[in-house]
Amino acid sequence: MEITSPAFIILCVVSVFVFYLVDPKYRILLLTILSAGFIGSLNVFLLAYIIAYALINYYIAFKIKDSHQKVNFFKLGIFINLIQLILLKYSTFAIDPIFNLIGIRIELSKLSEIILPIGISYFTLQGIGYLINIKMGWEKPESNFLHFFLYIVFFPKFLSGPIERSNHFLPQLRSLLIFDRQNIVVGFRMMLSGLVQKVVVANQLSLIVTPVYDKLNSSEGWMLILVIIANPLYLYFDFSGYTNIALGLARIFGVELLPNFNKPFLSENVTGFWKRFHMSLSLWFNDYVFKQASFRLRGYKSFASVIAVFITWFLFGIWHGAGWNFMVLGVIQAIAIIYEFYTKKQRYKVFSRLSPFLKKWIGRIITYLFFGVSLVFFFSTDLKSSVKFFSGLKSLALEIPSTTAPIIISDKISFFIALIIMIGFLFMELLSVDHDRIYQRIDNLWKSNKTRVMLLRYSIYYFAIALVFYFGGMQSEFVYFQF
Amino acid sequence: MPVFILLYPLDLYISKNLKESGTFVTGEFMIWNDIYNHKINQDILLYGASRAIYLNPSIFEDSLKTTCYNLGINGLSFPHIYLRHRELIKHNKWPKCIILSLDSFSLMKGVNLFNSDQFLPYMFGNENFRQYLKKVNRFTIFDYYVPLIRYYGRRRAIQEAVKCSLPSYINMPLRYRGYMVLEMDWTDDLSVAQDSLGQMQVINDHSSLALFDEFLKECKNQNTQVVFVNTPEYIEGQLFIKNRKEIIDTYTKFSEKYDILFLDYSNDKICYSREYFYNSQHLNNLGAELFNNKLVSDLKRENKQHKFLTDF
Repeated sequence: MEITSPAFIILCVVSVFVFYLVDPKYRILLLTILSAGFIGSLNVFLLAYIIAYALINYYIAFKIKDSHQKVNFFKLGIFINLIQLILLKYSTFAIDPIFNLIGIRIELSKLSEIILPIGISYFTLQGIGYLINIKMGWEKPESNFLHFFLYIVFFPKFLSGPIERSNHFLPQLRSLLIFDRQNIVVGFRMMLSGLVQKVVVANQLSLIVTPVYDKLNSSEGWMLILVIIANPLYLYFDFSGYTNIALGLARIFGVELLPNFNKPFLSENVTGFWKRFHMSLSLWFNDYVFKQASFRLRGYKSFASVIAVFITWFLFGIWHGAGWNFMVLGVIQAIAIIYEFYTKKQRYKVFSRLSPFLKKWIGRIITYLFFGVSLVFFFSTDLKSSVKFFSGLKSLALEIPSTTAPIIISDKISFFIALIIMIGFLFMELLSVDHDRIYQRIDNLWKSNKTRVMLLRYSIYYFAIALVFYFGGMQSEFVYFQF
Repeated sequence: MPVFILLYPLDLYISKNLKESGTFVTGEFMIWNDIYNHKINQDILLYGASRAIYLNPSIFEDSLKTTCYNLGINGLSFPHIYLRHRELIKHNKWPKCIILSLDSFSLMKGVNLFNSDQFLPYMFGNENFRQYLKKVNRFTIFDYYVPLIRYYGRRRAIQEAVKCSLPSYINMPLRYRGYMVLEMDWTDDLSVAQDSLGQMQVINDHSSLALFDEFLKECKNQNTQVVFVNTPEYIEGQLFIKNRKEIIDTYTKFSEKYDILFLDYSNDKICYSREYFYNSQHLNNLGAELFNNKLVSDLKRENKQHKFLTDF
């Protein structure tokens, strides 16, 4: 069931009613049943698998805390988490070819056809993060298995995150999930905003981006440039749309999830960009990989950070998928971040001659374009396709007009409406950062209870619902569902 | 809550106006409207899919001196033909005779729900629709019982409803008593299909076969005479279906079981001339006119011999 479908939304509305009608002490149980039901509807074997996965992590966490062999149990826990991820997600890429080479006729990738490891990249990082927190003494093992299980399977975040931290999620369950009108209002607003981002904007942008990657042979020149420019916007509106739906839905149930985006296109460098884009993932890698690696490699002195950056971004790349293109995606981020680190002074000298406005916008445009180019590796099916994409740019120099354009936008009015909505979203983000006083005034006005403002506010809500209704139905999966 | 309150009147607005469209979804609304307005009480009804819609009721009426209406439903298979039949007999009288156009895909497994927008204004709370459309997985249970939900993302249908609600809208129905003129040039559909598939194996659906049998039984019980017609198909198109003979044999078996006249035009000379078709499956206007007259005269001749149309 698609999470932008009316059926999903109706089921959510019914679930929320039931949730707040039952006795508060049963609400966590109900949320767990809903989440398990959601996963079971995707694949029954996956549900059974996740129950086993949660039980193992739950047990190992106690062993890490209480046992004399805490280090060994910790290593065992990490090993189990990684090996299940490798077996289910990377066997086609990493294990089957090796088995084939040494003459073992077992195709481990068949296993993933039975279990369908949807959401595995997300829940594995949550499992590993939890064990590291216990090992480091940052939190105590969760005694209530139901709470721990819900941490792993909570349905709004199960498919594509945000990647929750146990010490952020679990304490919220202890305070019981009590009805708060504000949670419903904020949650509804976030969900609606997410639906508009995905259904109205991202789905229309996908009409530019996806056909080109599907038909690279007939794509060339300016069309590829257009795709490079559209890549970040498409991914952002798609993923941020999903995240807002997830955050809003969780909030309606009284749970606050970690944010994933913070106006990423207003970053002035790549380092800053990754503190604002897919934040739950980049911060996870920062805390659990980069910091740990820097500490362990401290013997290499100034090179420690460089090596740690490479390790972190290499793993970040392959977290996205088993392919050389994802490795390249990670490595080029590492190169950019290291470049920015080592050229900070020189760049400061050069750019200090420019006006702050120009400096800011040059940084933003370069960062945006860098991200657009690196996303070619993200959207391509493999490294060969990425190379083909960049080779297609050659025709730009020759100015060969494309005769077999794969981009077909039949409903131009809808596309135009989507573009206006997109510009509206980005403009509000820009206001909130560059003109915070104006933004603050608009925000205060928005929250006011004056009749005219309320009328306007409700008109905007209705308009947004009408837009989602009008644009909905177009089948376009969320980009991050594949991970 | 205010959102939910608005659902019903909006549903009513869209459905009411959409039904007025004479051109949307190849004019199917005109037929549905006639069904629900109890206007289909003719003696002969023409059933079938796209190959039925060029059967002209006027030619049948003039030649057979009776009344006739074409209920052909474009692009769909037997369960949808049967759905229309169920709705028809709920609101109108049983016909005396049904001329059923059959093709290689009538009972096929996995037919897409072509023109699914045609069901939108009528399906709300309707059990027949739920029963006969459930196999195609296009609608959810909420579409039948929650107002407006079924219009989610149906941009073209919403646009059409708004267009129909405007005072400037001029309705130009595509269909006349279900019949549609198709003035089209030859398209390369067949060569595209041949290039991608080579040849096609049609697998019949078990539940469609059972439904077909049930339908024929019902007709027999109601004393409604059924005639099977396999309308002309361009010869290259016939060769494209690998198991065409097997499919025709299935229809022959049904015709023998229920003592039904089966007029098979697979070898008619029309099939050998491309000038009568706009693609391998469908006759163009010229071919349709020729075939309508041929079919009617064959029916007359057969009736003289076998008296199968007892009332005419």
